[in-house]
Amino acid sequence: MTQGACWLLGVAAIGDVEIDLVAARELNDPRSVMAVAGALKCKRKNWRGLILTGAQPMVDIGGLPRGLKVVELKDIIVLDQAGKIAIDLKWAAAKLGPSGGGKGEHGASRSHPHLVPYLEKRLASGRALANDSAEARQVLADPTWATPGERAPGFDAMRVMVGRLRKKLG
Amino acid sequence: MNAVALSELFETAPGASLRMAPLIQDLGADALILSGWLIELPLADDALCTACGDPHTVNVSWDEARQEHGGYCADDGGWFAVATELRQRFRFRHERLLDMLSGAFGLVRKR
Repeated sequence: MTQGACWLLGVAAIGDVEIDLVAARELNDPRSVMAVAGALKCKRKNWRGLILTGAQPMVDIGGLPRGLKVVELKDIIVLDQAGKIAIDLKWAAAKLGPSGGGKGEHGASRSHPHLVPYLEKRLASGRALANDSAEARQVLADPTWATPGERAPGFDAMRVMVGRLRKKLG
Repeated sequence: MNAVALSELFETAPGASLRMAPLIQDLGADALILSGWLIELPLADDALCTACGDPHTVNVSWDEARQEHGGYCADDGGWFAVATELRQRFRFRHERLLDMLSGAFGLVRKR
């Protein structure tokens, strides 16, 4: 997709999430950038997006869709003397990976201090857990928070009601 | 080599012609020019007036008597010589950057 100001590069795995990579020059046509970002957002249930941008203003004024993750071009590219570029993937993953704040449209962060106690309580109560949040699946798939040797049968298949978590945990 | 300059150049409109002097002075982009990020276009037929101080362009022509390229400023600046680098134009290679970005993320771009 090329819309003059935006180029959709594809979907890449960065960190542990798949991200739509969009290269955008926003200077002359911020509406086009927003349109592409909005289209990508609609396309994906668990939205994670990326705008590689050369300019800061649009990020500053908050004109991009909520939940869109942004990294600036100058922050992730490294140039050698021959003019070839390399990507600082570590930085990109840090900026574009799972939300660390438990906010936005991605559900609660797995690092949220109340999440694990909440899940443990839900599991102990025997009530159904339901949802498809990527964060919730990652938490459930990660045995480090569970008590060693007491992992419940069928644990990985359980689903978590993260919609409620969002409200509870903010 | 300057990542900020590359980022600024990416902000230019695809296909737009860029003048040499501002590129080097403002962005320090000479290394980017040397390394092929910019494609050289034919010399421009006009140049920024350096005779009167007002920001306007004048047509450049060859003066047989002076044996130089120059322009005539109608705002009392008279004739002034125009160096070749002031007429140089470049185009940034957006596609090259996009290809390199895709490659670095392990993607194949669809055309």
